Amino acid sequence: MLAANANFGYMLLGYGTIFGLMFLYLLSWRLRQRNLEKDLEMLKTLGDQPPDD
Amino acid sequence: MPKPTPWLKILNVVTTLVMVVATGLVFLYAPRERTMGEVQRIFYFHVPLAWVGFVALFVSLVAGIAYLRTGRRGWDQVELASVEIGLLFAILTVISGSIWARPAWNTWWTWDPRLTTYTILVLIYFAYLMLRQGIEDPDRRARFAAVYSIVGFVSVPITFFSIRIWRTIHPAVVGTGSPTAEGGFDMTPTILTVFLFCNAAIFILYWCLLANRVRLEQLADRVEQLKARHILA
Repeated sequence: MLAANANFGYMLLGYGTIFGLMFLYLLSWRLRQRNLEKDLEMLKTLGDQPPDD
Repeated sequence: MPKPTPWLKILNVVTTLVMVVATGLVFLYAPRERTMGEVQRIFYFHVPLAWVGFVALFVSLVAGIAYLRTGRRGWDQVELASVEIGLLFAILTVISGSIWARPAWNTWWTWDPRLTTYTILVLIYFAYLMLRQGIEDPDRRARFAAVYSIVGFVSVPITFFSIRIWRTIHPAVVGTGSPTAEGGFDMTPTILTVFLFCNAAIFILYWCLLANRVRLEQLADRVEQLKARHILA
């Protein structure tokens, strides 16, 4: 086992990884939401257009 | 996307505050552990992430059963959201545990029963997401996913009790581990206070993430319905 005063870096790595991955996950939500809202707008626009005769 | 209700806005703010306080307690209030040193602080998030991850997968089990009984789309949305968040927490648990293990056990990984069963759990629920991607029909997808979430939950108690069933080097936080386990675990009042607060914080975080993820899934469902209507028209 590493000496008690030698593992501060691992502690930072651990929390950096936890918060980093959580941030990336929330970022993925934001990207998904943006893409879905774009799709929704497009579908609404297509729905408003009169059908071709 | 449906507008967030006032309660959801309040929940978002409260969750943020609670997480900030929890992080502050971990770094500024919790004492430095005598044997393991600073790396022991990972425990304050590692264990709650594991426990609340199990709760999330239990919620997905309940949602799966509810969907099969009622056929209501809302339960499928809760199930998917809960599996996704539970899987995220499980992955964070495995990674943070590995980082803790390097200085504590002098290895990043060992095929210990707890680590092995946890990895299998992660793979099972990753496969759940793959299964959903592979089925186009929404009703069929929801039915298959519900059955999978019910069967897949078997991995959760196996993982939780693995340190009590098999010989392991993984510490047991609650109660005692296997009689042949090496090492032990005990908490001073200060450590226990921070640990319990972090458990509450991660629990609140889960419910906040769940509520927001379900909203996103409601938007996805709306888009899927409009696409289907447009194709049929």
